[in-house]
Amino acid sequence: MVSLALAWRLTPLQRLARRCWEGECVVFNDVTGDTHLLGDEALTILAHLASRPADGHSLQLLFGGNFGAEENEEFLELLRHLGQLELIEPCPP
Amino acid sequence: MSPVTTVGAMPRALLAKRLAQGLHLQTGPFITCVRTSIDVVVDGIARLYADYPVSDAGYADFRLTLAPPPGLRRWFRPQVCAEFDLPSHFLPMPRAHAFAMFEWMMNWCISSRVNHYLIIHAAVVERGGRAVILPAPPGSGKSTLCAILVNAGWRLLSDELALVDPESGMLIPAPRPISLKNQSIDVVRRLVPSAVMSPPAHDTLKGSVAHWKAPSDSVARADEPAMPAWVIYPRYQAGAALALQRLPKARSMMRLAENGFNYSELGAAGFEALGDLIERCDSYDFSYSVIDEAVAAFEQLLGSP
Repeated sequence: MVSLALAWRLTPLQRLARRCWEGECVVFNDVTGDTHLLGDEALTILAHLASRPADGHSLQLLFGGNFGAEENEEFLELLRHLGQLELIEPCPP
Repeated sequence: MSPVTTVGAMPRALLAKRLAQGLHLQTGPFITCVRTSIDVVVDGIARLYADYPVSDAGYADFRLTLAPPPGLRRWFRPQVCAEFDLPSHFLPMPRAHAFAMFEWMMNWCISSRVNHYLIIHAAVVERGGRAVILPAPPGSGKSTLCAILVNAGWRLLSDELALVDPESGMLIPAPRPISLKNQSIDVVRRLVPSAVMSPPAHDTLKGSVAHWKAPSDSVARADEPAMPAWVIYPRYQAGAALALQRLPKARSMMRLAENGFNYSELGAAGFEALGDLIERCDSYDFSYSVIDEAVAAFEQLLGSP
C-alpha cells in the first residue's frame, strides 16, 4: 500500500543518463537497460531522491505542498509509476 | 594497387563461377562473401549489383550461402536454403523467392551482428550535405517515399538500415536495392518506367516483393558519410492532405529507440548516440497522399536553415 508516509529512495546502483528538451526528459537506466519518457515532476522527484531518501509528504513540498485529495491520489500514482519502472523503491523498514 | 573490379565488369559466366566459389561483395562498409549457384540470385546480383565493388582481400564481415536443400526438394517444388557462419532463423523458401531471401539475409547479417554502429530501422536519403532519417513500421510507405525521393535526386544511404557512427554522429552509407512491396511496385513502375528492378517474387511472407537498383551515384559515394538533419516519420494515407507536424525531441527519441535494432545491446553508449542524433535533428510526423506534394515538401526542408 503506497501512502504519503512511505519513504522512498532511488533504486540502488543505478546510474540515470538523461536528455531533456522542452519540459520532457528521456532517461536511461543502466541497471535495467530501460529507456523512459518522463516529465518535469518525475525528474524533480528523482533529483531530490538522488541526494537523500524522502517520504511522500516531503516530496510534495518540492511542488509547494497543499495538495487536495485528488492531487494526492495523482501524486501517489506518480510515485507508484516510478516504482514500477524500478527507478525508485520504498526504503527498507 | 590493382584496380577495383565491379560486379558489372564481369561477364555473366565469370560472375556465376565466382559466386559458386564465393564472391566478396562490398556494400558500403561491409564485405559479404556470397556463395550461390541459384540462377535467380545470380541474375539479381548481375542486374542490381552491377556497380558494386568486388573485394579480393579475402576478408569478409559476413559469409552466407544460398543453396538448394538436399533430397527431393531440389526437384519437387524447388526450395532454397540459407546458411550462415552463425546460427540463423531462416527457413527454406520457394526457389522463386531466392533473390528476395538474399536481400533479407543481407539485412539480417547487418542488423543482428554489427554493434559498432547504432542501427535504426529506417531509410536514409541525403541532399546538400544534410540527411533525412525515415523510420517507420512496415506498410507506412517508407520505402515508396524513399524511392520517390531518390528518383527526385536525393542520394540513397539506405532503404532499410540507418547506420549511426557513435563517435562522429555521422550516418554511414550502405546503399543497396530498395525493397518495394505490393502496390508500391506498380506505383514506382508508373513513376519511373526506366527503373531497373528485379522480377517480383509473389506470395512471399511480405506479399509481392521487388527490388529497385540503387542509383550508380549513390553506390559510387558509399564512402561519404552524411550529417543527420531531420528525423521524419512518414505515413501514406490515401486521400490525406499533406501534413508536416513538428515532433518534440524527447518523443522522437523514444520512437527512434523503438526502431533501434541494437539500441538495447549498446546500453548507455546507444542512449548517448541516439541523444546526440536527436539533438542535431528536427523531427516531424509526415502524412501524404500525393507524390509530387511529398517531394515538394522535402525540397522545402532543404531551403530551411
